[in-house]
Amino acid sequence: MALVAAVPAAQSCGYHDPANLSQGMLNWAYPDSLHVRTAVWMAQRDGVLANGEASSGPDAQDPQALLRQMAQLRQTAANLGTLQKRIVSALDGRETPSFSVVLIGPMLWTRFHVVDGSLAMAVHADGPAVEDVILVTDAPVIASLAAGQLGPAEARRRGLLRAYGRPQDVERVEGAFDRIASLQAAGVSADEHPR
Amino acid sequence: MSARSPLRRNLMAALMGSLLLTSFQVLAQDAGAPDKAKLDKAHPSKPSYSPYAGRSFPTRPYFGDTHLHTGFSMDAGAFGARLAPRDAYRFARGEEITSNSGQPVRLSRPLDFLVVADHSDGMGFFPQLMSGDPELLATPQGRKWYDAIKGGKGAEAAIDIIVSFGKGQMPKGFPMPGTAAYRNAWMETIKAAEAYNDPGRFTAFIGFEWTSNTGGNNLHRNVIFRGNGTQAALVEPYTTLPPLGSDNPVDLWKYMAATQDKTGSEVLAIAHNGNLSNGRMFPMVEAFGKKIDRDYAQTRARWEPLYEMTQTKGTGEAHPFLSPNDELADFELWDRANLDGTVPKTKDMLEFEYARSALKNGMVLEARLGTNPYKFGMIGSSDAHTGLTAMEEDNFFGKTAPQEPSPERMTKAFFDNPKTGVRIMDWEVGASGYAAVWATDNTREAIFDAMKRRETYATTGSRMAVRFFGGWDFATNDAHNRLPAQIGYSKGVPMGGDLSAAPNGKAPTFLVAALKDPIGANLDRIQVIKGWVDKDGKTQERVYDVAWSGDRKPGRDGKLPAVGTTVDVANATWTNTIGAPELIAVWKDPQFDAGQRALYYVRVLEIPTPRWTAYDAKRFGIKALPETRMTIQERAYTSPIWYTP
Repeated sequence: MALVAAVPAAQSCGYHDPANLSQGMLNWAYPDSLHVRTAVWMAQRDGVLANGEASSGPDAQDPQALLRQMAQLRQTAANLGTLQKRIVSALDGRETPSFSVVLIGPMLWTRFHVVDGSLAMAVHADGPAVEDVILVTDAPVIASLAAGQLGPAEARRRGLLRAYGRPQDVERVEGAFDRIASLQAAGVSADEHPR
Repeated sequence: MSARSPLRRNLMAALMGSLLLTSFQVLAQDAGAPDKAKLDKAHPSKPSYSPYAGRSFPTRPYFGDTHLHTGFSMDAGAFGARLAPRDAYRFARGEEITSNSGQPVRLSRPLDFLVVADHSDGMGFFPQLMSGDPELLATPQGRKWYDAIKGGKGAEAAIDIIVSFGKGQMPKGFPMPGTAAYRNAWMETIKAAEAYNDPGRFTAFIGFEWTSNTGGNNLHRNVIFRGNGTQAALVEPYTTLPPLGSDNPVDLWKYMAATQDKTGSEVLAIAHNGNLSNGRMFPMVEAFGKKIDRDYAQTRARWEPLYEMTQTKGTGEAHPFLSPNDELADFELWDRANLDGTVPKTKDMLEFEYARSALKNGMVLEARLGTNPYKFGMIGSSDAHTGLTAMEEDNFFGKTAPQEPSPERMTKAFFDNPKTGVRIMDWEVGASGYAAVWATDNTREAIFDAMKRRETYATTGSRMAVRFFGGWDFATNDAHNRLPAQIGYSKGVPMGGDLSAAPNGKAPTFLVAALKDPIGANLDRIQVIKGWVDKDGKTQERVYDVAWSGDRKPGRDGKLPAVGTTVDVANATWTNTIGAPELIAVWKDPQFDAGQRALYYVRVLEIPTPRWTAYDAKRFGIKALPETRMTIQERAYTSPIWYTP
């Protein structure tokens, strides 16, 4: 088979599944990032993550799929927002390197970057900035992290959350995530933590 | 014993006496040169106690894959395959490795040989680009792609790469023959094969895939070297883009001739997926604007002794439209369009796409041109783009990296062209197949030589052992012998061979035998498929059931009832409580005409077993789409034996 070599006519070719190509390219840019997909279904199988709908792109011939995906996107954005608040709270004024989260199922990029001393979030970003730490994960993991059902360390241990970047930056970003778990363990919610 | 001992003297006298006597007799009778047949008869050699001592014929089939892609292939890489040729060989040898998607994977048992056949066009591109190759990144195009992929725009970059490649607008440093990058990729391919080639245990062939696909019509060939790395390193693979390459198979054959001359290594090419060629794989009239003539026939026959007739993108033995009386022809078909789905299939194309019709048409061309261009043997292989030749139904790791096991793979589209409406679902991808080769040893030379003489058969993933011999004197009792090969080779020719000059009044007889895969399913039946050219020059075919399990009786229509099934789809299990572990028969052609060209090949069917989709449904706890095939009858197809008047 020649999926690429086969297609001088380019766009007319049916092999161009953008989600698959995006994931494939991601696996080269961030080696073994495809492993996250497997880690997710294994965690779902083992009951560590909730079994949700597939987070991959919509079926082009199923109009209902688009509606489902839109609902998924809204929910995921809400979960990311919750996570953002928790991270801000956990940072407690400390700085963190900017980072981008890519959800490997829908290939959704979200940037977290410091603006005026605060951690801003941009869902559906074009991609990461050059110096960003990259976190590869998927929507069910974000949901579980946001809900406090899964700790970041456990997510990393299970391969559900993989980080790429300069080691010192990765360490700081992971530290911020870990602090969320510490605060949760101490019973401090994002809303009540002193600023 | 001393030289003067009485015993020694007596021995010498006896020897001298016999020599003198012999000389005298020869001189006295003037008998001339001895006749070997008479001498053999007069002095029969005593067989050794061991019936296996002194055997020189192949005694076991070697199973392998002649068509596997790794991350070195542009398309495989684009979909995220990062396993490299070395990983592919390690896996085929039986090692457990980690798949592209992070899953531990291992074969049920090692394979015997493997050809890593990465696409020659752009070989090694993604490893080169993403390792930050300075030459490539020094170009605006290369830099743009690299940054886009790193920056989350991988799909856009991949499509831009595809478009640029299609237009022949690749940047400096892109791996093309003659560049350092291309040489690096080819040398790593060679080194990987050299590192894992272990004569007697595992054969790692050197090869590549030449990917002619003009207009989306598949004319691909895998090229395999008989020789070693030193020889293969004297050349670089042939590509399709001019001016260095060509999409015309005739030019590939010229390259092969030149390669053989330059390297001293024999090479052969194996075509595949005629079903996606839209009527161009086995032409009868013209190809690339040139009439099919004797030169075309001779050249194709010389370089292409085999055809890969089953793989992940469909099985191409026969088609129900062409073989309406063959109720088993409708098997794992991909018959909707050409390779990229840009041109839907029409029925008039089918005759020039399938192995059976090509084999029959080849005899017509032979009568016309003096050479049969389609005198090929059968093999199967995977065409997997994962680096993993994992073609067992219960261990299927898909065709591409996104198709490695996951709860979603059964319900997604593998291929979808909204413009033409051609759509193929992932569940339609087959866990097929392997090549079986009756070679004398597990070495490059022995396996290659067996391929050249077509002593091969295709399987859809099973490792059943199949023997097939043709001759004039096989008798019913030969089927009762426990050493069928001994009789087969002594009284006939094996699969891939030729019969000619039928003795007066005799019809060809065939000895067929099959043993189940040791860890697989029992056998349903053995069939002989006959194709011939009738007195009017038209091709004909007929399928004969020649051995089957149980006490089934053919019906009034001559058809054998189905073997039944033990498959529990919900649990993806089956039992060997039906079928037979082995089948053997001697069959004589009941409708033989000594004046007509004919060919015979064997199809062996297993009892039904769960298809990979059933294993997925069970293991992931998911529901298959309504039309999904959940069971399969694995099969083997031997190379034909041809009869020429």
